Amino acid sequence: MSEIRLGGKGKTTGNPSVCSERDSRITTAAIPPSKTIVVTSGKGGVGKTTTTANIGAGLALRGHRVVVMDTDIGLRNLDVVMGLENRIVYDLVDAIEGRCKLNQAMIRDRHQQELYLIPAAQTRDKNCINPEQLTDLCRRLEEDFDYIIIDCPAGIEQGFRNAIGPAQEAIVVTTPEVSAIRDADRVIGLLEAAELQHPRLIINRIRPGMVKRGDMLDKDDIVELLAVDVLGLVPADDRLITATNQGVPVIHDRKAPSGQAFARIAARIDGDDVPLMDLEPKSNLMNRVRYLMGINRSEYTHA
Amino acid sequence: MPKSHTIQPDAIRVVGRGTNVDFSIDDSVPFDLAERRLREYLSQCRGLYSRGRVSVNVGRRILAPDQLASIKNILGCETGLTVSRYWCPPDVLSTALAGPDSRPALPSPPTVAPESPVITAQAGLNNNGLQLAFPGLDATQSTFTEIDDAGGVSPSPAHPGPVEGPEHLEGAPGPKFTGNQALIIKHTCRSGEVVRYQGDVVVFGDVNPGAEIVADGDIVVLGSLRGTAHAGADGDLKATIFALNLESHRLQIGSCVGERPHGTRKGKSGRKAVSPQIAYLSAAGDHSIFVAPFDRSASGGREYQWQSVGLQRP
Ligand SMILES: Nc1ncnc2c1ncn2[C@@H]1O[C@H](COP(=O)(O)OP(=O)(O)OP(=O)(O)O)[C@@H](O)[C@H]1O
Ligand SMILES: [Mg+2]
Repeated sequence: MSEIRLGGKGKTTGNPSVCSERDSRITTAAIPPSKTIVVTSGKGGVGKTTTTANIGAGLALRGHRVVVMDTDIGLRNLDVVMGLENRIVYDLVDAIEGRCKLNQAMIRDRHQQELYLIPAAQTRDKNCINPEQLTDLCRRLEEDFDYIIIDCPAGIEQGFRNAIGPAQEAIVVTTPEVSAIRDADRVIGLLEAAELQHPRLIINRIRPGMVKRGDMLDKDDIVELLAVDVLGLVPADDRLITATNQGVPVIHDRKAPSGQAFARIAARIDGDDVPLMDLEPKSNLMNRVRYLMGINRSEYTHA
Repeated sequence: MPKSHTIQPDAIRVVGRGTNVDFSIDDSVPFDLAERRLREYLSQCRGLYSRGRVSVNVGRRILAPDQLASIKNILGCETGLTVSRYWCPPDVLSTALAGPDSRPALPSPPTVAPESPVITAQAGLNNNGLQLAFPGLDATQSTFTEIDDAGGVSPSPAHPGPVEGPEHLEGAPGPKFTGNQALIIKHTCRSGEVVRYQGDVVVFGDVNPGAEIVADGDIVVLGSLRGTAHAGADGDLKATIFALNLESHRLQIGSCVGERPHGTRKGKSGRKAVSPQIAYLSAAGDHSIFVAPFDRSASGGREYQWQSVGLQRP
């Protein structure tokens, strides 16, 4: 783990020597600021961990330096999904409590040089860390990495508050089921209250056939209710299950529809304008009202 | 009564509203107890509030500047929140300005330092003077006044002195606070959000399942109403609930609760042309809720009686 280059990204810091080093190496456009993104959902089992692993891999495939962090302390999963379970020596809580250096808790991915995992502790619980500690840790990581993707535990308690603490952006994962959507709505409200405005939505495990037959809520129904931007639509996919069981993020399986969906999502996170199929909002009176009022700028005013 | 994220450790009430958080300090408890409760509450929910501005409603209590500073300090230290406003009822302010002798009897005398300089903000109704409606506070005061902790001038005293409301213009005897201002919400009210207001509420957006709007006046939703709406919460039987798209299964007006009768649910929202509906109480003695198209001349413009599911104390 010693090969992690500190300062490798050359992001501007308060340290003048870092700045000058950066100036001499980089002559073109300014480096975009690093981003810490939390992947959350409220409801459990909707695909947060799967999404985190694949977005992390997708961004690394695009040439970024990425850390994925599992904050599901006590129920860690991300290491298994990424096939790194056997390499864990130290974990997030060890790093926070100072039992190891930060880079000792970072495990390099098997497939990509610039992707690292910080696993959760399995033998502790969510109350053993707090949002401030996690925020400090992420601020340190931001000096060396372009993206930090945080896998949030289910629920809205301490684990959730820890995970959203350091985040600058939020991704909400839901499935096309009423219960998952209710929880997503609640979580979006809490994110907005925590000043994480404009979270973006991933709808996972869509079955186009069922949607067509009217047996499953479709994208428009969900967006109508949640009133947020859609970051991506991921189909239910058997290949994803196979890949997950092999500890390989499905994005590496070129034939998997879900993998392709995650690749597009990674591109959108990275700022590419990848159109979403059928994204035209229906022009009706209510959408016009929303548009005119600039709704979801979220504020109360007074008449 | 709304359960919710209105947390009530008796001395402190906290209402989250979108990005805003309003703290209200009960004026009937001693100040030091209120301070302690505030600290306790904030340490419990460490991390929930990490950034942002809050307003603090100090109620009818008259606070010395150092007490205001202490509140600000607690909030700042425990959470990193910045207090952007303090609120109090305008009559408290005007009495305070009128001089020490005419101060109202205070509920918690030991906490008041009579000779210390009290709030010296300019009395006036702020344009943004929204009532942070909390049960237990004086219901006749529907507008609160902004004060600042430096003991200085209110940041935006829109009107020096009482406001000339419509009633004044119509020649009502003397200027007075009308209490008729509406609360306008410009975001989607999401599951878990509770809005309580002692007047009319207008939502430019949807009210989602699990959200709750309780208004003493009317409720107007320029979007889909799918959550709980309770109009006329202080007993006004003339209150109405209007929505561009009324999808709730249950509504309450005054103390009457109504449930949507079977088979009147509209199809998928947003797919059809919007047909605004309005809910009101029948004039007859049994007071059941009726829902009718807002435009009665429209085709199929008939009203439905909702099933009365009994009375509930407002
Ligand atoms: N698009 C998909 N198609 C098929 N299976 C999927 C899909 N997305 C997720 N799954 C499966 O659903 C299960 C739950 O996924 P995952 O562990 O990512 O959810 P989670 O939200 O992280 O759960 P938890 O709340 O327990 O942390 C896994 O077994 C995963 O393989
Ligand atoms: Mg998980």
